[in-house]
Amino acid sequence: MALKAMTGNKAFAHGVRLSRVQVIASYPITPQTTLVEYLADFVNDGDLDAEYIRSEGEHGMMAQAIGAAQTGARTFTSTCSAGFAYGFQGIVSVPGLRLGNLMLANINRPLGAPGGLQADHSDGLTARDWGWVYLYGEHHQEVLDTAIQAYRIGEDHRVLLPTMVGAEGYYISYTTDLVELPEQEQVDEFLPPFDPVGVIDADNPMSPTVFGTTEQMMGMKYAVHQASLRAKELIKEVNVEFGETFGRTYGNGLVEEYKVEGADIVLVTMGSFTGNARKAVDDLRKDGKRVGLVKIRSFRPFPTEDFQRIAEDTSAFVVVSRHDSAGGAGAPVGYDVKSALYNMDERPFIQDIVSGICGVEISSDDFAILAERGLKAVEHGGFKEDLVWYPNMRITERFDVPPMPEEVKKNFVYPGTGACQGCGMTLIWKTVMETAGRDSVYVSTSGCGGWSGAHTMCIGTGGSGGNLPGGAATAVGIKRGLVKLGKTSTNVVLGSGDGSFGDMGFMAASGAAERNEDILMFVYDNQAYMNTGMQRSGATPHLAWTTTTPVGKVVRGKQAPTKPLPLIMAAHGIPYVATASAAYIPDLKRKIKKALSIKGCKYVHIYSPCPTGHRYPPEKAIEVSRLAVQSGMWPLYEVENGAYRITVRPKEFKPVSEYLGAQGRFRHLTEDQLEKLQETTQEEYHHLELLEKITNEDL
Amino acid sequence: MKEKEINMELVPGGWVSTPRPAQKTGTWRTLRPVVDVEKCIGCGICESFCPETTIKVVDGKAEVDYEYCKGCGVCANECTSQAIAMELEVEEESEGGGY
Ligand SMILES: Cc1ncc(C[n+]2csc(CCOP(=O)(O)OP(=O)(O)O)c2C)c(N)n1
Ligand code: SF4
Ligand code: SF4
Ligand code: SF4
Repeated sequence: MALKAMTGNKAFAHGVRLSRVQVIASYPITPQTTLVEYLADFVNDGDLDAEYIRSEGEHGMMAQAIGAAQTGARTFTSTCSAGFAYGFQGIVSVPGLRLGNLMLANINRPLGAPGGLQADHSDGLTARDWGWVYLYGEHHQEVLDTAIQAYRIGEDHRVLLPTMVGAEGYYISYTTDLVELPEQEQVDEFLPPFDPVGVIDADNPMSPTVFGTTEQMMGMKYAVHQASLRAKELIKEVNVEFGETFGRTYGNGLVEEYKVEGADIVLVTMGSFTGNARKAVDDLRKDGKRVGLVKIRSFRPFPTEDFQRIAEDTSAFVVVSRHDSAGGAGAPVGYDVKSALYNMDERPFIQDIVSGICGVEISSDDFAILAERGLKAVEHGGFKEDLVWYPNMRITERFDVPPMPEEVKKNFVYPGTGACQGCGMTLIWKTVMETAGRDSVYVSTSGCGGWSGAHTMCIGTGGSGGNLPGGAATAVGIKRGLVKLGKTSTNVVLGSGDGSFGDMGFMAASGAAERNEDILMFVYDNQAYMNTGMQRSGATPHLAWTTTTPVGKVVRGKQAPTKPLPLIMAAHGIPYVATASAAYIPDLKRKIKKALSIKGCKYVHIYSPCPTGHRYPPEKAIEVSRLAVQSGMWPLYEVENGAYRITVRPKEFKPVSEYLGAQGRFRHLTEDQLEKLQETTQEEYHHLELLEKITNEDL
Repeated sequence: MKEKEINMELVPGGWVSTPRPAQKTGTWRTLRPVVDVEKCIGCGICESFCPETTIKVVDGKAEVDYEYCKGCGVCANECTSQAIAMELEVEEESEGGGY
């Protein structure tokens, strides 16, 4: 069979496609993003017949996945890091609901603060205790194969538990390797359609109950526990059968042993860095050092019996965890290894290693160093320390922060951001913060704004980074804290992307508006999730190309309409709402100034040119933004205490085709579509004029 | 084989007070804006639209901070006096750091 070069995320996507997944609930987050983009390509090209839900956030995404799985449809979802945490309410419920037809791809990335984008197991390991069958893939082929095996395991009536497949960010997700793509017919034979126990179906009404007497609930928990233990046999069985069909097996399914025989010490790993450990074992064996390796493939259920068997013949385990358990007696992977062995008559020495945290590289040399330490410990009758961090940590904390130098305070925005050439966002920061002045603090959210270093690197007023769903909430917290401390005059300014603010952050934004919190919220609207690589958001214009609304053979561009955020915010009845544009700086300044003169909740929605995502050369940024206003597609208006007023009225409207035609993301539009957009633009502008009229008339 | 070490001083929570430019973004440039002082009327349009705050009117003429200017060309495109030309960056002239 031919080998094909592809990234790990693409290999995973092929695994999902070959499993004939029926519903996909997706939300982008690095480094998982391209996985759901490839799936969007498959769907829009007609290569995968699945319902594809472009969710508003992971909390919803998990609920959508649960709902879909409860109909009996084979369901796929994926996330990592912050998304994993945001979806956690759903994540912890899936096993108890016994949705074995649901798989979650966890493209591992650090969770919490400090964060980062590289590989780390802190996200998936937080879901250790709920009953997910959690399998880790070491490389591209294993990830693809495990995706197919996962549904076989989870959907089996002996198990009926959801499966999570871990694959490390970057090392797997974004690197390219050669992969053998199984034939669809073979996969179909290996993976029959799901045969559910219960489904949501109007013809045969039934519902899952997870609340009952305390005894019933404890019983259900026990059933999950037992099913998880039973999964061990099934994982092994499926591994063998997979080998018979496709010619590949992975150890015994639960663990993969490497040169364990006659080893004095055994390294224990999980995930992609196993490759480096394997090389270390080879190098040390060449020098006559008796070192072996166990790769944990199934973290849940935990291969207790395999460890007990291996422990019979080895003197020490060095267990590497890519996650910490602060203040604990060990590290997350070592906990299980130790528990598995504790009641043995004779047990080997065990050392917990916390390493590779937040993406720090663990090379084969590093593994060799750890293994050598293990060999020494065996000689000396044990480890000096039960738990060590590697690299060796020499961290001191200091508790004074030197104040901002006066000369630095002159500026509000510093150059040197990570934003692309011609990005409108930094221009908007500068204009807004200069207008807001020194007595202000800035709150950013994850996105191009947050990641290019808004509050720590470039905006000279200081401030904080809110998370994607919680930007407005962070701003509210800061404002209330400042008020309580008597710093009432300080402007708290939230600068958020459209995706963050208008989709998953909308609950917090709407809450702040409803309570009329005294903050200024502005959105730099680049009309997509740009930071994660141009995925559609609610605010993405109708029909626009994005990486999750690709122009495919069957479906072309974003089918849903544009979410009218300024109008929705205005409907809250807050004292001030305005639209603005990076191309109309005096208008923007005036609106910010006015907004900040008003007490209560203010919202300014600013068009932010994005040459990278809108597809045009950077020098055109302002020109294209101007066309948006001149064509009527981006009307500039304000709503003050309910009264609408158009602030910049083009004398003569340019055709929308001039604005749309300047951007690659609209290149695929047909004449008919352009005509229709011309019509709706005029209609919407007319509605605005009517609103202006009605709201200013004395009735 | 040398043992690796992470050796540093940290502030709990990572508090900082000085904006720390992430990088000398002048190295990104392939085209550099060159102001023709004869044509420049000091109107400030370029300054108001520069996304990087790297062009400023000083004593009536626009001046570029080449250490950070990313070379996007917005200033040249917006200048109504055609006073800015985008010229191919020559390695020696780059003040953005280099290697
Ligand atoms: C809970 C959660 N889910 C997903 C992400 C991944 N993520 C980081 S930035 C981003 C895009 C944000 O889009 P937007 O708010 O429009 O800002 P932009 O990137 O366009 O500047 C996403 C989805 C995250 N940080 N947190
Ligand atoms: S992707 Fe767009 S919004 Fe993000 S930094 Fe680049 S130009 Fe700016
Ligand atoms: S826009 Fe042109 S004329 Fe005006 S200050 Fe800048 S370079 Fe000079
Ligand atoms: S090229 Fe771009 S970054 Fe450089 S000065 Fe002109 S507008 Fe600013």
